[in-house]
Amino acid sequence: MEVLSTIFNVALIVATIRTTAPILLVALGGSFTTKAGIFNIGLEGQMLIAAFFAVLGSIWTGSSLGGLVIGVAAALVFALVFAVLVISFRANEVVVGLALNILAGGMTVSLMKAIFGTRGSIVGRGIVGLPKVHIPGARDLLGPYAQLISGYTPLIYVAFIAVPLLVLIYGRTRLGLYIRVVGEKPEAAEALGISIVKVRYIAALLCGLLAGLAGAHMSLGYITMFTENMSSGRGFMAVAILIFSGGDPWRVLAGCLLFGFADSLSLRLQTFGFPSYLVLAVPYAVALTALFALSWKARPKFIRETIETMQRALSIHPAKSETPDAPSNRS
Amino acid sequence: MKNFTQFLAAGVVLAASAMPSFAADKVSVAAISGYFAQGFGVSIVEGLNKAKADFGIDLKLVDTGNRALDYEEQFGNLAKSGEYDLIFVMGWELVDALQKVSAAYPNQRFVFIDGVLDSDKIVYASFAEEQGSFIAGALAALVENLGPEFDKIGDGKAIGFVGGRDIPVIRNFLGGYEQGAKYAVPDVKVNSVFAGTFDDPAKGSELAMALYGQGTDIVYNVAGPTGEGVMQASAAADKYSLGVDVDMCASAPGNVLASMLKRGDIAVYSIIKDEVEGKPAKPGVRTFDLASGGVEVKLCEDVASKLPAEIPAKLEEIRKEVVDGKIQIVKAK
Repeated sequence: MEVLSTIFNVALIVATIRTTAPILLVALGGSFTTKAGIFNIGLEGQMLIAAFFAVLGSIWTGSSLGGLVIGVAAALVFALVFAVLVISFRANEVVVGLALNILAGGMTVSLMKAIFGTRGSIVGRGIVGLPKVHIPGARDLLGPYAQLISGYTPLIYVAFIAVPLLVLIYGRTRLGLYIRVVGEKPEAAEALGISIVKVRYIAALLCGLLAGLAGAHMSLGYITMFTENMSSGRGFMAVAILIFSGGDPWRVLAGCLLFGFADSLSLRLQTFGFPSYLVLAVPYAVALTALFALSWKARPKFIRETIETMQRALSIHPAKSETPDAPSNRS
Repeated sequence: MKNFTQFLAAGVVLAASAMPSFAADKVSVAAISGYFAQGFGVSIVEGLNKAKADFGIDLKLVDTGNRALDYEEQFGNLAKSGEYDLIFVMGWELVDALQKVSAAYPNQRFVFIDGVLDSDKIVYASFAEEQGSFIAGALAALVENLGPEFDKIGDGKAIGFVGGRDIPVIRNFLGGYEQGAKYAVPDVKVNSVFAGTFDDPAKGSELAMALYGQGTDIVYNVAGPTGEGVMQASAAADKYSLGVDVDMCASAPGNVLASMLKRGDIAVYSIIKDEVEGKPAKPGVRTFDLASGGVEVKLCEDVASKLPAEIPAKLEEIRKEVVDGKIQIVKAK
């Protein structure tokens, strides 16, 4: 019992929220491109470049807000390059996305060398981190549970508020409708006179905006430093969640929370002597299994049809609903 | 006439100053790395410069930058002229190039700093990490043992460890740390976790937060940039952390107890000193330990001033026992 209470406690939920937020932000960004019919594998790179420029901007301007703006701007530049190549020049989106990821990795290392004369990481040097938000009155009202809603860095709130916001955008605004139409039925969009190119550009830039916020959160909010490759696959995790969720904000949230929870839980299990290799793989396995189950019903048409055809061919369910019933009714 | 004597004198001086290089007994050293401006690399440059000042050696520093494609070429350029007695190499990304060039120029002596590779032609400067970690573990256990009377310490009697990956090198740190802790305070608990990565400081921070939440008050990080997240978490949770490799007191002032230093400067200085004194470095492993000052635990001033005086005294006592061989530390394999 005592063991359970050292694992399952308020701190676990707080840790879940902390680990979920960066993936959620970047996955919500990717939701725009997914909905608009672009497969954006370049999230990781946009996040990384934003993390680097956020630190750089924070040092230059001496303020965390300045860092945030410059970080997001860098991600937007990457998003724009992606958009120009993929949307205007119709380059292969996977190739461009991967190339930009590699570019981000190499560019941050090179720039770090050029600007700071070093490799590895940038710590201290006047980086200003984002302040923690303490909600007034939370402590009086909730006591020890106040940490559930108060004391996070601002972008964590942004991440969670963005979920219903995106639902509203997709459901209630013209832009959201356009993005969905362009993604689901580009021919219909064309017939309606919607500029596919324009809508996809907007989606790609909105994606850059949120991925940039995610990156800035990594280097100024979550912790206050930059290190090579510090996004550590969070962008790729977001891509996986997007594939299974189809970009639906609530499902994205569910996927990210599940991953964040499994991650936080696994970190706590290590102290009980489970081997780290096994425990560290758990969150990925859990998240992927759950997402797979979640998306099983909504599996792509071609998989559904293939399975149906195979079942018919193997006559596991030999179309019994039609053939045996019909004659018996008549006779 | 006067001019002529001056000319002669100048000639003599010139000849005299040129003499040592002709005699070929002047030691010439090159060092190559991408990390000279940072942390551990800085201490190596300090050691090299000190050796240059003390022994008048020829020194050439080569910064690899990040031109990963021509590492081999850069090594080759240094090795092919044969003018350097020793070439110091630091950084794991250079290992492939080092091994190839070392095979191509068998007469060139390379010194690989902070690690041991397969090749038996290279000199390895290695650090007795288990000894330094032993002292770090003893310190953490002694401070934890002070209990709630001491600032930021609870009554959990538990200390922690965050490793990068679960690999033998890191296990060696952990082994020393655990042995030191148990030696100083036999009933202290050591909670060890691994991040699985060296470049995810956010994960390091999360791991440390989990440890602090489970009643661990002091966490030792051996995780590179991931460990920097541990240091920052100690400030966020207002607990203690222990740094590694370099002096990390500034990472979280007031929350860093001490750092286990690997003295790269002492390692390169000693190797060059022996070279100058006619004891050339031989291929194989040379370990810098507590006795030679190659590893040490440096307390952070701001916290150390609050510690009861018997703790530093006890640490020094333990250090002497390790140096004298009275304490045998088991190395992790």
